[in-house]
Amino acid sequence: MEVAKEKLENNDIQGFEDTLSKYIKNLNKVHIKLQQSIQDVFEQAKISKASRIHEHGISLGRTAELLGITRFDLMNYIGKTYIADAKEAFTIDPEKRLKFARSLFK
Amino acid sequence: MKNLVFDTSSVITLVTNNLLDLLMPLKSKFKGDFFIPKSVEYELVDKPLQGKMFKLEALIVRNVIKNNLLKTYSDNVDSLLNQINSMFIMNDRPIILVSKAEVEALALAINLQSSAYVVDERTMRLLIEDPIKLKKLQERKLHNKIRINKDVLNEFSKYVKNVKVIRSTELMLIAYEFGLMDKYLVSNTTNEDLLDALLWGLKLRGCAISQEEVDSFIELEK
Repeated sequence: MEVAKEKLENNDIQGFEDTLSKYIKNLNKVHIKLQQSIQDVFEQAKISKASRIHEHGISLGRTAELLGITRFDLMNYIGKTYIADAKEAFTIDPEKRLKFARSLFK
Repeated sequence: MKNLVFDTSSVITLVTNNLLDLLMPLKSKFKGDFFIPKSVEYELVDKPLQGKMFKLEALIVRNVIKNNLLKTYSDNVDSLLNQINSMFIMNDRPIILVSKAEVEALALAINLQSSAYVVDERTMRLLIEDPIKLKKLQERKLHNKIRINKDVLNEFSKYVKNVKVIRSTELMLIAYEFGLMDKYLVSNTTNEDLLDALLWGLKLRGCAISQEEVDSFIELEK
Protein backbone atom coordinates (compact mmCIF):
# COMPACT_ATOMS: atom_id res chain seq x y z
CA MET A 1 0.00 0.00 0.00
CA GLU A 2 2.98 2.30 0.67
CA VAL A 3 4.14 1.80 -2.92
CA ALA A 4 0.62 2.60 -4.20
CA LYS A 5 0.54 5.74 -2.06
CA GLU A 6 3.91 6.84 -3.43
CA LYS A 7 2.75 6.29 -7.02
CA LEU A 8 -0.36 8.35 -6.36
CA GLU A 9 1.67 11.17 -4.79
CA ASN A 10 3.88 11.21 -7.88
CA ASN A 11 0.76 11.39 -10.08
CA ASP A 12 1.64 8.02 -11.61
CA ILE A 13 -1.96 6.86 -12.08
CA GLN A 14 -1.07 3.83 -14.21
CA GLY A 15 1.55 2.76 -11.64
CA PHE A 16 -1.00 3.23 -8.83
CA GLU A 17 -3.60 1.11 -10.62
CA ASP A 18 -1.04 -1.62 -11.42
CA THR A 19 0.14 -1.75 -7.81
CA LEU A 20 -3.42 -1.93 -6.53
CA SER A 21 -4.30 -4.70 -9.00
CA LYS A 22 -1.27 -6.72 -7.85
CA TYR A 23 -2.33 -6.15 -4.23
CA ILE A 24 -5.86 -7.42 -4.90
CA LYS A 25 -4.51 -10.47 -6.78
CA ASN A 26 -2.25 -11.30 -3.81
CA LEU A 27 -5.14 -11.24 -1.36
CA ASN A 28 -5.43 -15.01 -1.58
CA LYS A 29 -2.14 -15.28 0.30
CA VAL A 30 -3.53 -13.65 3.45
CA HIS A 31 -5.74 -15.26 6.09
CA ILE A 32 -9.18 -16.26 4.76
CA LYS A 33 -11.08 -13.98 7.18
CA LEU A 34 -8.92 -10.96 6.45
CA GLN A 35 -9.19 -11.76 2.74
CA GLN A 36 -13.00 -11.78 3.04
CA SER A 37 -13.05 -8.50 4.96
CA ILE A 38 -10.84 -6.74 2.43
CA GLN A 39 -12.92 -8.04 -0.46
CA ASP A 40 -16.08 -6.79 1.29
CA VAL A 41 -14.54 -3.32 1.54
CA PHE A 42 -13.72 -3.33 -2.17
CA GLU A 43 -17.19 -4.61 -3.02
CA GLN A 44 -18.88 -1.91 -0.93
CA ALA A 45 -16.64 0.73 -2.50
CA LYS A 46 -17.71 -0.47 -5.97
CA ILE A 47 -21.40 -0.28 -5.05
CA SER A 48 -20.99 3.18 -3.55
CA LYS A 49 -19.13 4.36 -6.67
CA ALA A 50 -21.85 2.82 -8.85
CA SER A 51 -24.59 4.69 -7.00
CA ARG A 52 -22.77 7.98 -7.71
CA ILE A 53 -22.57 7.13 -11.41
CA HIS A 54 -26.29 6.31 -11.47
CA GLU A 55 -27.04 9.55 -9.63
CA HIS A 56 -25.48 11.37 -12.61
CA GLY A 57 -28.08 9.91 -14.97
CA ILE A 58 -26.53 6.67 -16.18
CA SER A 59 -28.99 3.78 -15.99
CA LEU A 60 -28.80 1.08 -13.32
CA GLY A 61 -28.07 -1.63 -15.89
CA ARG A 62 -25.24 0.29 -17.52
CA THR A 63 -23.76 1.25 -14.15
CA ALA A 64 -23.88 -2.32 -12.85
CA GLU A 65 -22.25 -3.46 -16.10
CA LEU A 66 -19.48 -0.85 -15.75
CA LEU A 67 -18.60 -1.82 -12.19
CA GLY A 68 -19.14 -5.57 -12.55
CA ILE A 69 -21.81 -5.78 -9.84
CA THR A 70 -25.38 -7.12 -9.96
CA ARG A 71 -28.44 -4.88 -10.27
CA PHE A 72 -29.62 -6.41 -6.97
CA ASP A 73 -26.53 -4.97 -5.22
CA LEU A 74 -27.10 -1.57 -6.74
CA MET A 75 -30.84 -1.29 -6.14
CA ASN A 76 -30.43 -2.44 -2.56
CA TYR A 77 -28.01 0.46 -2.06
CA ILE A 78 -29.63 3.27 -4.02
CA GLY A 79 -32.99 2.76 -2.31
CA LYS A 80 -31.43 4.16 0.84
CA THR A 81 -30.19 7.30 -0.91
CA TYR A 82 -32.06 10.39 -2.11
CA ILE A 83 -31.41 9.67 -5.80
CA ALA A 84 -35.10 9.09 -6.56
CA ASP A 85 -35.96 12.41 -4.92
CA ALA A 86 -34.09 14.55 -7.47
CA LYS A 87 -36.44 17.21 -8.86
CA GLU A 88 -35.84 16.07 -12.46
CA ALA A 89 -37.04 12.53 -11.64
CA PHE A 90 -40.65 13.67 -11.53
CA THR A 91 -42.36 13.23 -14.90
CA ILE A 92 -46.04 12.30 -14.65
CA ASP A 93 -48.52 13.18 -11.92
CA PRO A 94 -48.75 10.13 -9.56
CA GLU A 95 -52.57 10.20 -9.62
CA LYS A 96 -52.61 10.13 -13.42
CA ARG A 97 -50.18 7.20 -13.56
CA LEU A 98 -52.17 5.30 -10.95
CA LYS A 99 -55.43 5.91 -12.83
CA PHE A 100 -53.82 4.53 -15.98
CA ALA A 101 -52.59 1.45 -14.07
CA ARG A 102 -56.10 0.91 -12.68
CA SER A 103 -57.54 1.07 -16.19
CA LEU A 104 -55.38 -1.91 -17.19
CA PHE A 105 -57.16 -4.12 -14.68
CA LYS A 106 -60.75 -3.24 -15.63
CA MET B 1 -53.80 -11.07 -25.86
CA LYS B 2 -52.86 -8.04 -23.79
CA ASN B 3 -49.57 -8.06 -21.94
CA LEU B 4 -47.14 -6.23 -19.67
CA VAL B 5 -43.37 -6.22 -20.13
CA PHE B 6 -41.16 -6.04 -17.04
CA ASP B 7 -37.67 -4.59 -16.77
CA THR B 8 -35.12 -6.12 -14.35
CA SER B 9 -35.61 -3.28 -11.86
CA SER B 10 -39.31 -3.85 -11.23
CA VAL B 11 -38.88 -7.59 -10.67
CA ILE B 12 -35.99 -6.93 -8.27
CA THR B 13 -38.15 -4.54 -6.24
CA LEU B 14 -40.88 -7.18 -6.00
CA VAL B 15 -38.69 -10.14 -5.10
CA THR B 16 -36.61 -8.25 -2.52
CA ASN B 17 -39.85 -7.13 -0.86
CA ASN B 18 -41.19 -10.69 -0.87
CA LEU B 19 -44.09 -9.56 -3.10
CA LEU B 20 -43.43 -11.65 -6.19
CA ASP B 21 -46.21 -14.12 -5.31
CA LEU B 22 -48.74 -11.32 -5.87
CA LEU B 23 -47.99 -11.49 -9.59
CA MET B 24 -50.13 -14.62 -9.93
CA PRO B 25 -53.44 -13.11 -8.68
CA LEU B 26 -52.60 -9.85 -10.45
CA LYS B 27 -52.10 -11.71 -13.71
CA SER B 28 -55.51 -13.39 -13.34
CA LYS B 29 -57.14 -10.02 -12.78
CA PHE B 30 -55.19 -8.49 -15.68
CA LYS B 31 -56.28 -11.34 -18.00
CA GLY B 32 -53.09 -11.18 -20.04
CA ASP B 33 -49.44 -12.23 -20.12
CA PHE B 34 -46.35 -10.94 -18.32
CA PHE B 35 -43.09 -10.93 -20.29
CA ILE B 36 -39.39 -10.34 -19.73
CA PRO B 37 -36.65 -10.47 -22.38
CA LYS B 38 -33.86 -13.06 -22.18
CA SER B 39 -31.23 -10.55 -21.08
CA VAL B 40 -33.43 -9.51 -18.15
CA GLU B 41 -33.60 -13.18 -17.16
CA TYR B 42 -29.79 -13.19 -17.20
CA GLU B 43 -29.67 -10.19 -14.83
CA LEU B 44 -32.33 -11.65 -12.54
CA VAL B 45 -31.19 -15.26 -12.44
CA ASP B 46 -27.87 -16.23 -14.05
CA LYS B 47 -25.76 -13.33 -12.77
CA PRO B 48 -26.90 -13.33 -9.10
CA LEU B 49 -26.61 -17.14 -9.02
CA GLN B 50 -22.85 -16.64 -9.40
CA GLY B 51 -22.68 -15.03 -5.93
CA LYS B 52 -24.18 -15.65 -2.50
CA MET B 53 -25.82 -12.34 -1.64
CA PHE B 54 -28.90 -12.60 -3.89
CA LYS B 55 -28.81 -16.29 -4.76
CA LEU B 56 -32.10 -17.02 -3.00
CA GLU B 57 -33.87 -14.20 -4.87
CA ALA B 58 -32.44 -15.56 -8.13
CA LEU B 59 -33.86 -19.02 -7.35
CA ILE B 60 -37.27 -17.53 -6.53
CA VAL B 61 -37.35 -15.60 -9.82
CA ARG B 62 -36.16 -18.69 -11.72
CA ASN B 63 -39.12 -20.60 -10.31
CA VAL B 64 -41.54 -17.86 -11.40
CA ILE B 65 -40.07 -18.02 -14.93
CA LYS B 66 -40.20 -21.82 -14.94
CA ASN B 67 -43.90 -21.65 -14.05
CA ASN B 68 -44.50 -19.30 -16.99
CA LEU B 69 -45.74 -16.51 -14.75
CA LEU B 70 -43.06 -14.41 -16.42
CA LYS B 71 -42.59 -15.56 -20.01
CA THR B 72 -39.23 -14.96 -21.68
CA TYR B 73 -38.70 -13.59 -25.16
CA SER B 74 -35.62 -12.84 -27.24
CA ASP B 75 -34.98 -10.09 -29.78
CA ASN B 76 -32.09 -8.32 -31.51
CA VAL B 77 -31.82 -4.71 -30.32
CA ASP B 78 -28.28 -3.68 -31.29
CA SER B 79 -29.38 -0.79 -33.51
CA LEU B 80 -31.76 0.64 -30.88
CA LEU B 81 -29.04 0.31 -28.23
CA ASN B 82 -26.61 2.24 -30.43
CA GLN B 83 -29.27 4.85 -31.16
CA ILE B 84 -30.01 5.54 -27.48
CA ASN B 85 -26.36 5.52 -26.54
CA SER B 86 -25.54 8.17 -29.13
CA MET B 87 -28.33 10.56 -28.15
CA PHE B 88 -26.58 12.51 -25.37
CA ILE B 89 -23.19 14.04 -26.11
CA MET B 90 -20.70 15.62 -23.72
CA ASN B 91 -17.37 17.08 -24.86
CA ASP B 92 -18.02 15.66 -28.35
CA ARG B 93 -18.30 12.14 -26.97
CA PRO B 94 -21.52 10.12 -26.65
CA ILE B 95 -22.65 9.19 -23.15
CA ILE B 96 -23.32 5.46 -22.88
CA LEU B 97 -26.57 5.69 -20.96
CA VAL B 98 -28.26 2.30 -20.94
CA SER B 99 -27.53 -1.42 -21.08
CA LYS B 100 -28.69 -4.05 -23.52
CA ALA B 101 -31.16 -5.61 -21.06
CA GLU B 102 -32.94 -2.29 -20.52
CA VAL B 103 -33.21 -1.68 -24.26
CA GLU B 104 -34.38 -5.24 -24.89
CA ALA B 105 -37.22 -4.75 -22.42
CA LEU B 106 -38.24 -1.49 -24.06
CA ALA B 107 -38.08 -3.02 -27.56
CA LEU B 108 -40.11 -5.98 -26.38
CA ALA B 109 -42.79 -3.67 -24.96
CA ILE B 110 -43.00 -1.93 -28.34
CA ASN B 111 -42.90 -5.09 -30.48
CA LEU B 112 -45.58 -6.79 -28.40
CA GLN B 113 -47.65 -3.57 -28.27
CA SER B 114 -47.76 -3.97 -24.52
CA SER B 115 -50.38 -2.26 -22.41
CA ALA B 116 -47.52 -0.93 -20.28
CA TYR B 117 -43.79 -1.22 -19.68
CA VAL B 118 -43.13 -1.89 -15.98
CA VAL B 119 -39.87 -0.18 -15.05
CA ASP B 120 -38.62 1.09 -11.68
CA GLU B 121 -35.39 2.44 -13.14
CA ARG B 122 -35.22 6.22 -13.31
CA THR B 123 -33.03 6.81 -16.39
CA MET B 124 -35.08 4.63 -18.74
CA ARG B 125 -38.33 6.20 -17.51
CA LEU B 126 -36.94 9.70 -18.07
CA LEU B 127 -35.70 8.76 -21.54
CA ILE B 128 -39.19 7.65 -22.53
CA GLU B 129 -41.23 10.31 -20.74
CA ASP B 130 -39.02 13.40 -20.65
CA PRO B 131 -35.50 13.17 -22.11
CA ILE B 132 -34.97 16.91 -21.65
CA LYS B 133 -35.27 16.43 -17.89
CA LEU B 134 -32.60 13.75 -18.10
CA LYS B 135 -30.37 16.22 -19.94
CA LYS B 136 -30.99 18.84 -17.23
CA LEU B 137 -30.21 16.32 -14.49
CA GLN B 138 -26.93 15.38 -16.15
CA GLU B 139 -25.94 19.00 -16.70
CA ARG B 140 -26.64 19.82 -13.05
CA LYS B 141 -24.72 16.80 -11.77
CA LEU B 142 -21.82 16.88 -14.21
CA HIS B 143 -21.43 20.67 -14.25
CA ASN B 144 -21.05 20.43 -17.98
CA LYS B 145 -23.06 21.22 -21.09
CA ILE B 146 -24.83 18.22 -22.66
CA ARG B 147 -25.82 18.29 -26.30
CA ILE B 148 -28.68 16.16 -27.64
CA ASN B 149 -28.50 14.71 -31.13
CA LYS B 150 -31.91 16.00 -32.25
CA ASP B 151 -32.31 13.62 -35.21
CA VAL B 152 -31.74 10.64 -32.94
CA LEU B 153 -34.04 12.09 -30.29
CA ASN B 154 -36.86 12.70 -32.79
CA GLU B 155 -36.56 9.19 -34.16
CA PHE B 156 -36.50 7.73 -30.66
CA SER B 157 -39.49 9.83 -29.52
CA LYS B 158 -41.54 8.55 -32.47
CA TYR B 159 -40.49 5.00 -31.64
CA VAL B 160 -41.60 5.22 -28.00
CA LYS B 161 -44.62 7.52 -28.41
CA ASN B 162 -47.13 4.78 -27.53
CA VAL B 163 -45.18 3.35 -24.61
CA LYS B 164 -46.87 3.78 -21.24
CA VAL B 165 -44.71 3.38 -18.17
CA ILE B 166 -45.82 2.11 -14.79
CA ARG B 167 -43.69 1.07 -11.83
CA SER B 168 -43.90 -1.75 -9.33
CA THR B 169 -45.44 0.91 -7.06
CA GLU B 170 -48.57 1.28 -9.18
CA LEU B 171 -48.84 -2.51 -9.60
CA MET B 172 -48.64 -3.05 -5.86
CA LEU B 173 -51.16 -0.28 -5.21
CA ILE B 174 -53.55 -2.14 -7.50
CA ALA B 175 -52.85 -5.34 -5.53
CA TYR B 176 -53.55 -3.40 -2.32
CA GLU B 177 -56.81 -2.04 -3.74
CA PHE B 178 -57.88 -5.55 -4.75
CA GLY B 179 -57.36 -6.62 -1.14
CA LEU B 180 -54.52 -8.98 -2.03
CA MET B 181 -52.56 -7.77 1.00
CA ASP B 182 -55.36 -7.91 3.54
CA LYS B 183 -53.68 -10.94 5.16
CA TYR B 184 -51.18 -8.47 6.65
CA LEU B 185 -53.93 -6.53 8.44
CA VAL B 186 -53.57 -8.37 11.73
CA SER B 187 -53.69 -7.07 15.32
CA ASN B 188 -53.97 -3.30 15.25
CA THR B 189 -52.47 -2.79 11.81
CA THR B 190 -54.45 -0.17 9.91
CA ASN B 191 -54.76 0.20 6.14
CA GLU B 192 -52.64 3.31 6.40
CA ASP B 193 -49.88 1.40 8.22
CA LEU B 194 -49.92 -1.26 5.55
CA LEU B 195 -49.80 1.27 2.75
CA ASP B 196 -46.98 3.20 4.40
CA ALA B 197 -44.99 -0.02 4.91
CA LEU B 198 -45.62 -1.12 1.34
CA LEU B 199 -44.59 2.15 -0.31
CA TRP B 200 -41.50 2.63 1.85
CA GLY B 201 -40.50 -1.00 1.28
CA LEU B 202 -40.67 -0.45 -2.47
CA LYS B 203 -38.76 2.83 -2.27
CA LEU B 204 -36.05 1.56 0.06
CA ARG B 205 -35.38 -1.47 -2.10
CA GLY B 206 -34.77 0.54 -5.23
CA CYS B 207 -37.99 1.66 -6.92
CA ALA B 208 -37.46 5.21 -8.19
CA ILE B 209 -40.29 6.86 -6.29
CA SER B 210 -39.82 10.09 -4.36
CA GLN B 211 -40.88 10.75 -0.79
CA GLU B 212 -43.34 13.31 -2.16
CA GLU B 213 -44.94 10.63 -4.35
CA VAL B 214 -45.15 8.24 -1.39
CA ASP B 215 -47.01 10.92 0.59
CA SER B 216 -49.30 11.69 -2.31
CA PHE B 217 -50.17 7.99 -2.84
CA ILE B 218 -51.04 7.69 0.86
CA GLU B 219 -53.34 10.71 0.50
CA LEU B 220 -54.91 9.31 -2.68
CA GLU B 221 -55.73 5.98 -1.03
CA LYS B 222 -57.46 7.59 1.99
